[in-house]
Amino acid sequence: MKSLNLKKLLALVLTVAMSLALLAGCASTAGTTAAPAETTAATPAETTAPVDPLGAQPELTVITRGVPLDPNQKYPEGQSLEDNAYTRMLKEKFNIEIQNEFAASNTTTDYSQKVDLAIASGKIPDYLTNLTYTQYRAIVKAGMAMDISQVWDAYASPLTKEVYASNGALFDSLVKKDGAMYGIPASNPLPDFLSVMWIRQDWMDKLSLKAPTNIEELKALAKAFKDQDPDGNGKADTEGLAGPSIDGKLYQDMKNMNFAYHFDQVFAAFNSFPGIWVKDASGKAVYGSTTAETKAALQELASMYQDGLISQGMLTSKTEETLANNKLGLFFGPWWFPFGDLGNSWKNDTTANWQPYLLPSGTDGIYQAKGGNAAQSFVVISKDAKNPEAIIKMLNIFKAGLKNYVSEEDQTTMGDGAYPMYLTFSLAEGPGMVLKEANNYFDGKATADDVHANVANYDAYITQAFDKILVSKVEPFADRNMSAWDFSGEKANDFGWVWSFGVGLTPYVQGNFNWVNSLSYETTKTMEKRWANLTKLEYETFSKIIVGQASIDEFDTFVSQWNEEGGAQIVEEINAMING
Amino acid sequence: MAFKKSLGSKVFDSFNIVFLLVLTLLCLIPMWYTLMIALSDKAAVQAGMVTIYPIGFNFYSFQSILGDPKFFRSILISFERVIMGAGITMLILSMAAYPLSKTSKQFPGRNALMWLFVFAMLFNGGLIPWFLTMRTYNMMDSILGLALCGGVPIFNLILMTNFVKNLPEELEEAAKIDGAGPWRFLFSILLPLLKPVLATVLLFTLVNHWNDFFQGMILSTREESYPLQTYIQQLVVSTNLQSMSQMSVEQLNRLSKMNNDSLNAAKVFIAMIPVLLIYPFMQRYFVKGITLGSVKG
Amino acid sequence: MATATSTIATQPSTKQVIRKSNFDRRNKSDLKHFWIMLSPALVWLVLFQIVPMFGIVMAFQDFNPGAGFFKSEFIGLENFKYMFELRDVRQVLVNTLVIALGKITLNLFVPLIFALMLNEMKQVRLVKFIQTSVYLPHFLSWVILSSIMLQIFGYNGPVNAFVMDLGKEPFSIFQQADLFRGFVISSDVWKNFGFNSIIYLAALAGIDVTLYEAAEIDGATRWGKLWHITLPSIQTTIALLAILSLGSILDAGFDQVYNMYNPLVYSTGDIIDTYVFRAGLQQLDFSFGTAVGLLKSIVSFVLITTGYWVAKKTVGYRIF
Repeated sequence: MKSLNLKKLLALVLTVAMSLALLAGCASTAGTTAAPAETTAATPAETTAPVDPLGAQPELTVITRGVPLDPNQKYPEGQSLEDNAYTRMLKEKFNIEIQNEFAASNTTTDYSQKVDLAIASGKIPDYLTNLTYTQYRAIVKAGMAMDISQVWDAYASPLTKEVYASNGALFDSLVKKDGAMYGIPASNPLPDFLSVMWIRQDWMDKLSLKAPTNIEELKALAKAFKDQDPDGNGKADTEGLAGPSIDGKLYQDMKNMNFAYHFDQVFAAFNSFPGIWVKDASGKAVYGSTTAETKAALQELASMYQDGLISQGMLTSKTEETLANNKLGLFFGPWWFPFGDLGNSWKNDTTANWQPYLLPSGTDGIYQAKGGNAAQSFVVISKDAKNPEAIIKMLNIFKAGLKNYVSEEDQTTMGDGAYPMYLTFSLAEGPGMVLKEANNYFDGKATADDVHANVANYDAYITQAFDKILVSKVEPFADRNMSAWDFSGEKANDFGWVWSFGVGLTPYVQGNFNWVNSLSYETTKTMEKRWANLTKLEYETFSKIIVGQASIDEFDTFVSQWNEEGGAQIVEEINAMING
Repeated sequence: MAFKKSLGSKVFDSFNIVFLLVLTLLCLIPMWYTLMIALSDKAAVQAGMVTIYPIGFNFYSFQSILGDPKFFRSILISFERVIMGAGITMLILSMAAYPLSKTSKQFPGRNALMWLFVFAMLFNGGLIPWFLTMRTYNMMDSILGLALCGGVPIFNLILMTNFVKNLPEELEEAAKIDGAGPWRFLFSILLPLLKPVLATVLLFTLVNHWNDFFQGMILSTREESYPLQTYIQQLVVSTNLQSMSQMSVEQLNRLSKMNNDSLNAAKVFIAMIPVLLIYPFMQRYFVKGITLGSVKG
Repeated sequence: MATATSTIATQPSTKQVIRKSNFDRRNKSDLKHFWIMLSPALVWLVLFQIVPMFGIVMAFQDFNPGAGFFKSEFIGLENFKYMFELRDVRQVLVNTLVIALGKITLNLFVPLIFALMLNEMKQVRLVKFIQTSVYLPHFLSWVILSSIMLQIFGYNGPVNAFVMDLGKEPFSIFQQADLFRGFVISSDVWKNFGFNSIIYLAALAGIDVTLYEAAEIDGATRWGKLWHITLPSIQTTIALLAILSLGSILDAGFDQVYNMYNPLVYSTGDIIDTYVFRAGLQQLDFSFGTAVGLLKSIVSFVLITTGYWVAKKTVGYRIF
């Protein structure tokens, strides 16, 4: 009984104290919300004086931010999100102190939700990263974003500016308006979006065939790989063209890029671009999956599947295992695949000579490559930020290479992800630079030192990849086949690096392709509600058509159903958006 | 009673028992199943092999929870919130229920107040103004904020008020003749009589606070201040639902690597335990509290 | 009961009259104390429920968070007009009504049938055990229950494993738009039928035993007793519960749906509350979300008020 009374008393005291606190809080409510939306010009007074993009702040600068958490982020012993080598470095060397206003997981909608709440409440931290285009636009529309054009000009380092400029036209259209600049787009490197046709050169040579230049030759190669026992084990156990794995996708679309075992190059040969917004003959935006060209491509794929030219286990078995077991020699995938499943194939058979090609889409020898969204997320600086220049400096520091500022041990444990201004911010060309520089070196146009000096300013991986290529390459330098590389001993560990950068990027560097970009990457209102269902319908119909569970006539049913269930509405929204 | 039961009657009785037992089983299965998942091998779980007994029996999930400070922190927050929330609610409601149980003649304005409460239960400005208000009160990441943010639990208030209304009026008259003022009447005569409804409201408040995830989600600016249900919602439910249609291939791969169904099941199981420990003991009271406080035939 | 009241009413004694006037006088001074007792609840109400209501103005604005409540442009009923033009809103309304009505009806009758069946059972300890067990799901949160259901009915679960064994395509109920509403309704009924039976069981326990004894002497069967005694005795309770549930006709259950739905089942599973949440937060369309929410409040308020009067006029019951 006594304890009960105590509890009651405690609760009573709490209630009273709280009521007082609340009343006090209430009084200030009006003041906060009514505060006029002043525009702090925030033009640094000293713009006339030369500024150092990597210089320390003259006095301690506190910067607030929202943190997109990676649940897998690791910290060295004794360090944490709030206090780690990066934050210490920023404070000690640059006089910048980071305060986290909120932190939430970026793998779920949690972070996005916290950002939305911040936007809704009219008060965002000094800067936010990982914003969607919708969020970016809402912030700008609400007048909460700072016009950073002058700070950017004054403080962005040459390298930072170069990254922006490498996708300049696209980025300008997204973040600039009437001379003002309201955000910084994350910059994804373009080679990642270019799919290549990986072929077992050794099998092809053995069967005296050449890399296909059109669909007929592709079919011939697939047939040969399937029927003519290219692995020479006397069994008919090899596949033609590899199809998607379980839960895999038939082609790259606006959301999912940069994966393997799709049919993009086959579609492109029919001038078909499923999954993205393209222009029709009249110049109007249409959804690539609903065009007659796509129907033709599907028909061809279905007949190839029926003829056994496409792996029969597509969508129901693990293609990556077939590849690792070296039962297939032809598939479409990204340049970096030697880091992935292709590396496993080579591990199991070190004679596997995988070479990347592009399947020309027309007679001109050019592959019409589906492009990806280089601006997948945005950074915004709040108009209330006192020191926008410090935020730009943080980006400069990031580009200058974090390894130059913290111990290697800390950097390895944390990776770049723990850096408060972490974003994908790569030159459009990105990894393509490695092979270009390597080619210059092998052609005798540059010495290794020249190359090192050239790339010293760029991302650390560039030097690393270049050096690894040099270690494994043997004469003749111009030859990129397996026989002209040395992967003996320890070097085998670097196969992924060497084969990806040294071989996989060849089609990108040769440049026999033309980007076909989606007219929009935005999620419209109706898309938000319907897109998942429409995509599911599309995916299921197309899969069934290819494996013969549905006839090609289903395609027309699909198109009308697609339009009916919101597709037509979405097409209108997209057209409206593009036209104004 | 010497009635001889007919055959049909006996068949019905047997059927009845079997049917009700199956129903009972259906209600107990989730607990059991969750425990089995938690005790099974991760791979067997992902293959959908586990049903009513564990496969690859092990305590690994429970062991690895022991080293998970985030999980324990969220449990602690939930406990603090439940205690504070229940304390405040019980005190405020029992004081309010007495005057509200008067007729409008005895306490003019009583009806208007009642309708004000109901009005406030139904109308709100939506999430954003509520969020702004809470932030102005400085109640982000705060236990007190979680305890108070839901406002007055109207249903419980009505339950209590009706219960008081049903007590004989002579009680109060007698107390008054003995010279007891309203406060003494409330605390020394009324409250002890309210035991069933107090227990009921206490249980509802405890369960409500324990079970809330939404307020915890909106009012936390960092994972360290998640209450348990928000923690589980983010970790298990939200991740799973999103993976169904929205994730890119890359995200899915990352997800499948970090997802551990049996570990999650162990956490879910632990989250169920407090509820399990409380409600059976309160059953006697809440049956009475609900019956007397709400509808009477 | 009725007779007892009337006896008291017909015998007013002088003593009582004096006491009554005395009581009234005393009562006046009590009023002050009543207000004091109520004040914490009122402060709580004002601070946490009345103050945030200022947000309702958003429904009539084109709310711009940068400008705030005072500087955003007023656009009258524009948001409401837009709402009625949107096909989505109609779909959401249909979903809400189907789910809510399904829940209301089944939550009225399933517990009734359960209570009647349990009432026929004479093994006291078993009855107790059954009661305790079926109350359990009611006390578990939707977060917990959904995580369990995701495990059972999702792609990694035993249900899908069974379906695949039959040679069918992979199956997850969370991705089947045509099954989703039924799943939401039935899981809710499963969660609550035990708890909802409490009132019925109490009403059943209150039936005069002599009625049954008389019927048995007349040779009534069990069915006969059910039809002629049990059901008539509790019909008021059933009617009352039905009236009271009127108010929740637009309440399809946010917590449940939020923790079970995903874009693949939006077409059948999206309800007013989830729609408002997404419109207001994820799409950053604050005013529109508030307008939809406000409309829901108004309809619910009208329905609850109606229920209140109907209950008062027909059965003479005051909800509060």
